Amino acid sequence: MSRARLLPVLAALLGVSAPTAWAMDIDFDGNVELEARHYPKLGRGDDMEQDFTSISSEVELGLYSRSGRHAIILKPFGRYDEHDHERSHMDLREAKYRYLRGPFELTIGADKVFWGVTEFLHLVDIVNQTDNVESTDGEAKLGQPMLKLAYSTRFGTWTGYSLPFFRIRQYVDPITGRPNYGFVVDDNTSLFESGEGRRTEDYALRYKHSIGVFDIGLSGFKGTSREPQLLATGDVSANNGLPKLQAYYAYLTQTGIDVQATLGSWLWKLEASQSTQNRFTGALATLASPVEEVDVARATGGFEYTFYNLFNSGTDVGLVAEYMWDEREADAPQAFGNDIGIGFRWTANDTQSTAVLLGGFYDLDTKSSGLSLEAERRLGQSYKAILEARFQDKVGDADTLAQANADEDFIRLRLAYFF
Amino acid sequence: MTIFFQTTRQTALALAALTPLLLATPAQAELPGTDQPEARGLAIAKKSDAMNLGFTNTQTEMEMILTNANGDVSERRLGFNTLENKNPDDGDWSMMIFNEPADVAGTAMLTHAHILDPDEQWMFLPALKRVKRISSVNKSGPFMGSEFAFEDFSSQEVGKFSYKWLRDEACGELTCHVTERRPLYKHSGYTRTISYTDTTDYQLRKVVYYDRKNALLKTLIFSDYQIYLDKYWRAHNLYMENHVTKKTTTLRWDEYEFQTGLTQADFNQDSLKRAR
Repeated sequence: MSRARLLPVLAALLGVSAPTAWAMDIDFDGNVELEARHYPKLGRGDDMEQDFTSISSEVELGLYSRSGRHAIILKPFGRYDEHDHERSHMDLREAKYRYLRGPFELTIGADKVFWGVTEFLHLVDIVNQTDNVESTDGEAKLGQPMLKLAYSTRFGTWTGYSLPFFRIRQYVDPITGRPNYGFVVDDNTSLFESGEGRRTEDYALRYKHSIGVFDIGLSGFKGTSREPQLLATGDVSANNGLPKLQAYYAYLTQTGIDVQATLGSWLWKLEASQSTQNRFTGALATLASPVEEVDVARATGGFEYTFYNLFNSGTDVGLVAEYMWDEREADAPQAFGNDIGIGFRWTANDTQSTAVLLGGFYDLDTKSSGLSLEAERRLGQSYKAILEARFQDKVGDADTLAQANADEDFIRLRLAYFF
Repeated sequence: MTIFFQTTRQTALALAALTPLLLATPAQAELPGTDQPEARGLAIAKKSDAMNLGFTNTQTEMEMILTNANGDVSERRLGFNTLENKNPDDGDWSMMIFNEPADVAGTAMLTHAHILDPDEQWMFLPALKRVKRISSVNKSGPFMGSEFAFEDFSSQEVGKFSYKWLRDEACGELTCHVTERRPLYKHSGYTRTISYTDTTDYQLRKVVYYDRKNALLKTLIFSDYQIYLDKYWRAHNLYMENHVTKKTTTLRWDEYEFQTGLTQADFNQDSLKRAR
């Protein structure tokens, strides 16, 4: 964070004496990252690559009034990928003005919001669209334009969101991109149930409170679903013969609850959601398929237990186990209908902040399983190396999702410079 | 109205006249005798704690210099805000904001300390914009890879320990009460610590830590004390040496700002997300 250094530089550029002209603080920091991805197996299409190199950068510029009341924060992100034209993308992760007054906090602009407590699956977290080309774990999000008003009381914080624009989910390059799950999606054919398309009148409400060992969140959302239903079009890609799908974004109503109980070394977690939306029915639904209103209950929960300072070594070993449930179980249109996720986290607590996370998924219905590894370590004072690998271990009977995943194992290595 | 004003003014003047007398009273005279080492040790801790009473809140930044046995150095920088808890039976609130190394910039930790109940702690992870309630069981583990344990950073409330005065001895130019302190809270990495509190200002000058097996582990030396608002002492250099690993950690504190207007609202999960 080069707070002190930047101020005189900017002041010089603007030809003003910063401390007198602006009563504000300026923060500027960010990172530049080189990335290499390797897919050991051949792609489904002839032009699908096995090795991708890429460069990305994210910077954050913050202007803060001395009173702390006003803040303007800009956080652009950009990536260039040598093969994947869809993955080469820019996004304003944040571009917002924030105003504080007493118990009120007002935010106008693009922002990122996180709701929830669990580690493997984020059920109630719904405000931001997933940056689907960035990573496969769903943790990367696109900036969401919003007007947000939070009211903080001794009995919790209420936050209301007005979400006037919709961000569509991006899919990897239909010709070169990986992972490819056996189909291609053309963003240009996206359809919206809400007549207004990307100009929406979505809104959300969130209540968050901590009482003793409990951290409780309640949430409600009404608007266009961030997760599309992918519909068959009957067309195939001219390049590789894979079926072309189109994304249909239904209108969704969702209520959610998330609770964490922190009891000593145990963190007990639960997220549950109830949603209502229209869906096209049938295994290979198209726009012509009958539409049905579906009410779906989903839940995920489990525990995280950490052995701190194991054998006085200074290292921590944590175990995370979570169950993921969808009342449709195996018929659920997503991967986690009746699954278990197990994570094993090793934190060295050394000067280089070395950490390793081993994860495993097991589908109780189909018996499919997958494995993941994430490891990171700081190099020197300003660099960080991150290794990520994901493998489909077993493909269960008739598990089409696992089958589609099986050829898309990958290793991803990143080297980031932070400033 | 006028009469009331005069009366209070007279009282104030009378108190002001008394103050030098109070200050001149030898500190030792108020302590229980050396034949009551536990009571004397507790009284020393209380007196030390009372020196800090009414500080209301502070803001500062700190540089952490980690040196390993080979002399390799790595640095961290953090901001530190503290809010005094007006309830003497409860702990202070604090916010730590990590600035360096740059890859952890923006990470922040909020602590609502308690006396013997577990502290409440939340961590803000800026990349995910996520506030995560974390376990406060982690007392003995290293803080940011340093020779300081988490418990060395947490609020040192009087009620968290039992005390036993051992002796008085010279410490530099001062005289120190040497007190043995045993943690009463769970999960501590120490059986005991030996603390050296000077008899003039009742500030810590040195702490020696003994691990769970009661073997010598670390020594912490406080120096560069400065006085703020004529009554609040703060050490600006803390030097921790681990006798087992031969690693050291130095904390260099910037100037403290006192009574900056921080309130409880600056120590909740909403302000944690905005911390910088």
